[in-house]
Amino acid sequence: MASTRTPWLAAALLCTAAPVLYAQDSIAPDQFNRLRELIRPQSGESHWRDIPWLTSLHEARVQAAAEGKPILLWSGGGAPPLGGC
Amino acid sequence: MWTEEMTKVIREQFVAVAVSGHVAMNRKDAEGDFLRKTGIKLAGAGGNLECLTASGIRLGAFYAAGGTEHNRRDLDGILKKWQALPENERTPGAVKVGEAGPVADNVRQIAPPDGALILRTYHRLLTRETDGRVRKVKPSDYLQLAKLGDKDTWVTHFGERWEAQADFMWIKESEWRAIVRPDPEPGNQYPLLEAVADRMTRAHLIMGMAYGECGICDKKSVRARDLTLTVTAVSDDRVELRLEGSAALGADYETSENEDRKGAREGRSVQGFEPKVLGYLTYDRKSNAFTRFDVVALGDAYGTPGGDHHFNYRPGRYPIGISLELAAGKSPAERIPPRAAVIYDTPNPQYFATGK
Repeated sequence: MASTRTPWLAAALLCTAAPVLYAQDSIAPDQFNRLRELIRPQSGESHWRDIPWLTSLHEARVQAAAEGKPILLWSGGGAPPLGGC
Repeated sequence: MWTEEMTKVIREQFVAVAVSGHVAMNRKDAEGDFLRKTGIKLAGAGGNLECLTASGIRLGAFYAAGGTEHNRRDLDGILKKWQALPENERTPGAVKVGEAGPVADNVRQIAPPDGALILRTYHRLLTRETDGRVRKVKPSDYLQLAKLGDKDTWVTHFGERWEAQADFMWIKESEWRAIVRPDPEPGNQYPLLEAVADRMTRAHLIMGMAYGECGICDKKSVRARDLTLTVTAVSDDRVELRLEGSAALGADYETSENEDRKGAREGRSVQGFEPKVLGYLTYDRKSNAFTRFDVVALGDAYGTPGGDHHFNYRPGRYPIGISLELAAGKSPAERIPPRAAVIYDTPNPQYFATGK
């Protein structure tokens, strides 16, 4: 009997184990800050964020005319590229 | 393109403005007329980096996928053209810009509702090491990119893999005021307001934004969702809450494994994402405002987004991290619409119809 039950037992154990192999654990509170800092822009990244972006071409023209500067116009397809494109 | 050096030059020598190409090219007002007269054609997809004068003279463009040296040459060329212009184009105050005039209706509507809570979101592609730690991705994590080795190509210039992708979430005033229930007591537990939970899940806890673009996914794409608030502390000054939960979006893993094109160029990907969520909120009872709204989500994604993005293919499961935090919403850059809140140049009515 053991020789026919063993494969079934092994299969049952694997079925129980499979979710554990792939399941994403909940986020532990003591990992929250580290994870947040990993996800957010890190030092040396996203330098474009250091630029004081306007979102109105008219306002950019007014400021550029007042300051005697050219305009850099950055466009995104679906939305301003300062967020999702 | 956005090296520290380039960014410094742009900050010091240009006035920078970011727009939606669709909105800018099609808006039916004076600002749209001005842009169309310059001859600049902003692409519907992919975006542009154009330079022009306040009077409407086009100076040139950057080819963002060209790499750092190419961009530097672009910049030099643009600044040379600028310097070659007569003084009445370059002297401060010399160019007169008229009034803006009435703003096109569809443009006026793409603004945060009065009193809205604005959250900044970040999505980041991650890799799980063999010991379980998660880290930022690198080229060797991608089968196609690993084949390129150290070769510098347009593929490696696209930053969506290497950096956090930014977006925003809007929560209407009537919604955020309803998040904290009356007479809170420590231990109270209840679901996050349905409209907010639904919007957060379908428009923001999505894997597509890690690649820089997405919209709001339909309700059928949400296989499961559970976002629960627990009141953790109450005082005369504040109420503190913890947000916990999870979501399952898109296909299940087995379906994705069976049907995904595994990075084939022709596309038809089958994707899924299963984030876990943890957040901490603080509501100030004196100012009647949230002073903290920090949320992170981490989960396994699978499947390849987009056919011609086959360079993004990774086998099996890979982690994506998402964070949300309060934004002051004062600067123009912090008042742009969430990606899911617009359809090209008009508001997306689905964005605030969540929870119904």
